[in-house]
Amino acid sequence: MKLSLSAAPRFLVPAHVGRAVRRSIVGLSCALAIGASGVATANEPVKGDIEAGRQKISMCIGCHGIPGYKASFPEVYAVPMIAGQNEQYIIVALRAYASGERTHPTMDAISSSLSEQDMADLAAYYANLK
Amino acid sequence: MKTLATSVFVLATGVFAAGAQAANLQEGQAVWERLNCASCHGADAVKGVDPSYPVLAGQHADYLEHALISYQRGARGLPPSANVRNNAIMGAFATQLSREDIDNVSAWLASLPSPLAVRK
Repeated sequence: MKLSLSAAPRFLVPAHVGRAVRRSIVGLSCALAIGASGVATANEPVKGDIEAGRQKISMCIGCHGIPGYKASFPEVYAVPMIAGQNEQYIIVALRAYASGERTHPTMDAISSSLSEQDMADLAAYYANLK
Repeated sequence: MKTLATSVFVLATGVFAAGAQAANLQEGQAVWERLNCASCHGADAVKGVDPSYPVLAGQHADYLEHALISYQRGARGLPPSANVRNNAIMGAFATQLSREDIDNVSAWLASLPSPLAVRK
């Protein structure tokens, strides 16, 4: 559903149509895709699900779940502890990596692959680890 | 007299050993108080005034150092490839810190009681 909608402008919009128009069509398609999949609406913020988060940690645990694991660029430092971290902060940090407000080779790549729902689920999972 | 000399020696060794650890916890707390970090991050560095602020207490000291240095890099306009954090508030505070301040405040924060863990 999501794929066909976001791909649609490429096939349906003629090449001479301006970029701004194309962009708004892409935006509309994305909004439709999100609305259609029932993930979120504009008025209803995404709600994190601890159990769903548990299914999504495979990309996190290879660094954040290993005692003593260190990142090495440009400083050498132990990767941060995220179990027990504030839920909203985890979301804000992931968004910052995805938007380029923060840059870090690994976290940029991983956060860009996450949807808002993924971020909310992971944040709920890690914040509530007991 | 001999006892006094021994005590002085032991004290001096203790001071030297603390110096060799590089970071100074008391100085770190002084940095925290000087910049009034608690006004946003909370007195315990756990509960910030906004839910989107991180738990700092008990976090790895070298990660906290890295974070502060990244805010400095961002505030100095370094390119994304330099591993930066662009944040108007934290950038403004981080640029007021010397490297020594960063080491000290990070060590002090890392020493505080914390809900954080690598895994639970």
